[in-house]
Amino acid sequence: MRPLSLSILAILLAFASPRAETPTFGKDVSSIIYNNCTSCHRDGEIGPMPLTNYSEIAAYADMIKYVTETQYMPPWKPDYNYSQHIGARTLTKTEINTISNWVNAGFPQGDIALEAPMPEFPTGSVLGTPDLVLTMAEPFTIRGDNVDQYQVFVIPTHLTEDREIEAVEFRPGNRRIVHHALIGADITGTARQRDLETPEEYGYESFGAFGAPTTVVLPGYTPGAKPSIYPKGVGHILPKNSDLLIQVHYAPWPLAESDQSSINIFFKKEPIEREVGFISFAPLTTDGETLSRIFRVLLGEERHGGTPVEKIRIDKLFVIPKDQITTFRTTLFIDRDISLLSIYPHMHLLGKYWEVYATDPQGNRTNLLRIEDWDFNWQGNYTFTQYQKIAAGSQIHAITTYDNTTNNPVNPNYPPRNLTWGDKTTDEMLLVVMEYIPYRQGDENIALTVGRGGEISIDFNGNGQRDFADFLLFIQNFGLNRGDTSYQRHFDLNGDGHINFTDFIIFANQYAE
Amino acid sequence: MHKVIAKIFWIAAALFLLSGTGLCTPYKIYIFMGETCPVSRHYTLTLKKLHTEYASEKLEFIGIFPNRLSTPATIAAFKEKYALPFTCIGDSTHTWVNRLGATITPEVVVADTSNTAIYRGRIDNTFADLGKRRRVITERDLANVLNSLKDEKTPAFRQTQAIGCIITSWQNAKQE
Ligand code: HEC
Repeated sequence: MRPLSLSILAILLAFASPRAETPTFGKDVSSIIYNNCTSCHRDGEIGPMPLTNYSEIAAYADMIKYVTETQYMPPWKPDYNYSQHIGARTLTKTEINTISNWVNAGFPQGDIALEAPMPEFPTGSVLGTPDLVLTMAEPFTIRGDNVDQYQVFVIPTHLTEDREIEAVEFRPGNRRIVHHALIGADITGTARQRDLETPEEYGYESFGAFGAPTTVVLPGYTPGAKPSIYPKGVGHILPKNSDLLIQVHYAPWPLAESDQSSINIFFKKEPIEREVGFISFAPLTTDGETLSRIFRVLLGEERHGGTPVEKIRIDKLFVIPKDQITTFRTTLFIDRDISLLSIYPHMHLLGKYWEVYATDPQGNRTNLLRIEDWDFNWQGNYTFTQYQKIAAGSQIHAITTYDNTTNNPVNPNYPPRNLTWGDKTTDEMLLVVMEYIPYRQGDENIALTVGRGGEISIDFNGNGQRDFADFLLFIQNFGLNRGDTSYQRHFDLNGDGHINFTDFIIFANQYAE
Repeated sequence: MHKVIAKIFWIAAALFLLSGTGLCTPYKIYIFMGETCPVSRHYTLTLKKLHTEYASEKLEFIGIFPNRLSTPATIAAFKEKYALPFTCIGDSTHTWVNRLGATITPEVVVADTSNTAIYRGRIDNTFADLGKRRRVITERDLANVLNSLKDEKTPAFRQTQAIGCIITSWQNAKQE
């Protein structure tokens, strides 16, 4: 009875704020822009125009209205209503309308005393002092010919023993040109060898991925994303003598600038009980058998006590005929209880659509990811806000669509050609890599927060106890979104920008503990 | 007598000037650009190439910077950084924007001596939309217009949709 009446109260509170008058920069718009745009749009970052004060924002007013209405900005590809991932960059309908109304009304500045404070943007590491810093041996200079470049750099770790990893933080050397980075570890020396084969340049060019087998794939980097931190008892193992591989995507740029990026590594303070493993699918053959074997080796699945993937099935051969739109349905059969941490979808330039979901033996469905308008330039590794339990006997389905017609402006071939699997820009891929751990009772209630050590606190008033007063505080803030003036980050337990029912569940679980 | 000489002088001067402008710069290629607009930045390479290929006494390139925050210093810095080989001027009051009807950066307006537009729009079709960059360019609109002009043909007025940053209109801005 009590929770019910309180949630009604919460809903009432959320809808109670009237918004009739003309929005102003000071009162309404500054907090939306500062909290959703300025992390990238400030000096030295990847966002091209600085958006750090009224005059800079007003100077781009019509454009800001356009890019927010069309949801081009802030950049975030997964459908937020389908499944929840950490660090989602989305504006609410209300926020988008506020910006539009403000621009239509002639973008008034209003009362500057009400202007939102600028969030603190860390200049050093977001996570603290790293245990190991690995830096590119020398600066790499891009060609500066407006063509994307994908370069793999091999950095020896010189580790004399296996180390357990809590977090990995990629630090771009030149934030203007580094568009994204993938990170992996190679113990075979293959990448080192490839690097030697191109002595004229530092690193080697590889579009699809690392172009070498990797035992571990660590969370990569996209601008603005916070580094993931593995929860208590969970993490990766970085093998001794391994080489760290970073594949950096340099944005098309008209000048030959250079970059020297580095990686901060944080070791686990307490031992790992469950090592993170990978399941992946990539449909090379219709039965999937050959392929899953290849990938098991490639992703080091054997190291984690054998893959939980019983088999992979795809509805047809992975061939994408020219002048057609083709959809593939791929299924993974899972043979034991596992918990998923993250999902990394990957396709190239013909890719249009992604949908990944699981069905358990009872037919219950868990949505994992949907991307309506795939953009190769904004690919990323998406960490779920909570562990996703996949029960033994479940199937994970991927529906992917490719547009190999001339209507696809980024089609690498003009006129279109038949394409199949491969590493090059003019090849295609259908690859999903998911991080998992063996399931343990209660996993589904654990929030994968962005705070160091994976701890979240619901002791909002800081009196050392989780009590009813904290509950009342939470309820008062329920329904607020990032960008609302009174939004406070610590009530947003999963850090997705919305204090909503998901946070309520996390709250309730913590409360009950 | 004195007066007649003066008259002749002025007529000669006027004729010289008219024919001079007529001969030297019959066509202007106005390029609206934004120092911080990524699409403008992207096209600096293309513009340099087009300039090398087509600029002449008859075809003059002029960069116009309509952003409200453009200053001679920001324009000079942009021109230097991307090594733009043509004159760049500021237009934060939107005199040129209004005269030539530009709405986007980058957008080009090719105009004849009487400042009548014969082409307005994109440079080429690299961008299908914001962030959607073609791997294969199939329409080179500006180059086509410049080719015709080079061959002494004046094409009929054409307009295309430029993709880039919308030029903020300050006409109905509420400044207090
Ligand atoms: C994660 C980083 C990031 C965030 C957050 C972000 N942007 Fe951007 N923005 C970019 C990048 C990168 C580009 C350049 C895209 C390109 O060059 O293709 C860009 C481009 C733009 C452009 C120019 C569009 C064009 O291609 O001409 C505008 C305007 C813009 N952003 C506004 C915003 C606004 C408003 C917000 C907040 C609601 C925002 N951005 C949030 C990274 C970001």
